[in-house]
Amino acid sequence: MMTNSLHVLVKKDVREYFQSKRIFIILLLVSLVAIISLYSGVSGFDRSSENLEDGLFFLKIFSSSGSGLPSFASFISFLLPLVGITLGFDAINGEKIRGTLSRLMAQPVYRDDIIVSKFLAGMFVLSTMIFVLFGMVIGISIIILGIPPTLEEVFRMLVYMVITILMIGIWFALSLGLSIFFKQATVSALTGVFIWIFFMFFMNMLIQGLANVIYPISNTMDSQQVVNHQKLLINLAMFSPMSLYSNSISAILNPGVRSLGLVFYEQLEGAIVGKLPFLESVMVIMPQLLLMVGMIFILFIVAYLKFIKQEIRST
Amino acid sequence: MSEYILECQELSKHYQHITAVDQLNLSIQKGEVFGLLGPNGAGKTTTILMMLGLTEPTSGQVKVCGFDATREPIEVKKRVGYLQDNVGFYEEMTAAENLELIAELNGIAWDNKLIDTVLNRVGLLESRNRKVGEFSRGMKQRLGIADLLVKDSEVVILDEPTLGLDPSGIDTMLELIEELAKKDGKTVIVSSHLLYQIQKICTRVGIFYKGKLVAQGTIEELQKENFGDDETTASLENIYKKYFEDQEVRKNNDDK
Repeated sequence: MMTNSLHVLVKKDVREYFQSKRIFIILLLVSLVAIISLYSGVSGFDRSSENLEDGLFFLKIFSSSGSGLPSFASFISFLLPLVGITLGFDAINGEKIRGTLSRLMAQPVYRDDIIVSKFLAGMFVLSTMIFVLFGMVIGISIIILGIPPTLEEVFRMLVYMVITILMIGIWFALSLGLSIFFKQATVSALTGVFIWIFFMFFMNMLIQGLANVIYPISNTMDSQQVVNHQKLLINLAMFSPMSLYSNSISAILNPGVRSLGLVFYEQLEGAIVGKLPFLESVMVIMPQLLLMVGMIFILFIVAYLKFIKQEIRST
Repeated sequence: MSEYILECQELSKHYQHITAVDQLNLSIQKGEVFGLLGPNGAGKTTTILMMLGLTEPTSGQVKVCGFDATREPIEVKKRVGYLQDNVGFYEEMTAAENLELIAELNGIAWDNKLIDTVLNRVGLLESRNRKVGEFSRGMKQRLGIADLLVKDSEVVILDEPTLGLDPSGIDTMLELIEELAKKDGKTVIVSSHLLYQIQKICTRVGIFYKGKLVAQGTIEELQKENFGDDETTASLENIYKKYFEDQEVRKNNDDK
């Protein structure tokens, strides 16, 4: 149950988000990019019967790319972490700088309520944004293609939305925490962007490097070492929200994906090529989903503890 | 039950290298207008934050309306209104919306009539639906008083309420603060480094210097104590100066 003050604070925070200009700027940017990539995807789409046959034709729009532009899925996985960072980077230090935090703190509200309401309001706003964005994209696709999605596709798209919300949630929780650790909003914003750049461009190199150090690749290495090398790569990638996200969307958008782990050639021998039913696909990505939820909670708990202990001074 | 509405006992606050408040004892009775005087950095704001339970004292305790400010800050915050220096409002919201937020956080069932009455008292009724971002400093300070009126608490604490205002703004603020005590019967604690202003409205003052309360009493008492009956030099200004000179001399002696 929400306490009265938590309820009031969430209402206030959500309203502040929607009154701020930045939310419209981001939404405009993201929708523009989404529509362009969608348009190029749809126009370059292969409408041959082969593609229509498996009944999951609609989902392919998200991952198809045409005329040299990246697909919708890769475009938004690139952009959306920035949305999370934008929503959170000045959540607490912004209120401190404006002097509104101590005004709130002088009222009979628990500190917990202030930080929890920031989190809930941010998650609500970003979920709304994702639903609006996806609604728009799906609507436009139906108009252009003239084919409605099947029920299974609707479910898969819903899971796609949930995964996307979780991924942005990680970045939002991170930048909410940064807004508590740093006094200046510019510093917390920059730190957020640096961390994003790290995971976007350097995390994979780091993982490769680590795996090469621990299990060096050479001509003389035995098969067990190759397996260990690959396993380490997969396990380390679990620490990156980027690869968690891209792995899980690939499995949910493409029913042909049967496993996100290591699969041996022998295991595939004799397997009948086919698509997994919806729930089986969800099972495949379950570890990724849980890891993403876990990341959000760990980041939020760190932020929460820091905020509870922090001295609040007006100046 | 003590007769004091606010009591500080042996209150100290140490930051890493400095002592902001040092063994402070202070008692304030219901209905008083108490002035916390002292130069910047004397520990006035830190004392106020401890009174509200916003900062934890290193040692000692504060009791407000019978509640320990450190252990039961929520109970204290229900009974104390606080106007900080540089008060911040949500600038995208209107004046009325800002007040409504305070009412809701305090569980007060507000209606437009209450908001209008309060805004009228601080002279902001015609700016009711303007965004606070457009307000001048003086208007924001008056809106801060409106905050206190909406909350309608037993005790109000104002930290440097006249800072950065023009002379007419200062007069309006002082009148409003006096009204809080006389008309609404609130206990008022007001901090300032500007003596002649405080002199006009306070029934009793305490003088802070380097985290210590070096003197307290009514202005007349302090005058008598320091200058006898010599009326010509006996302004609060002179008392204030005398205390600081005493402290400086003592400090210099210590150093030697």
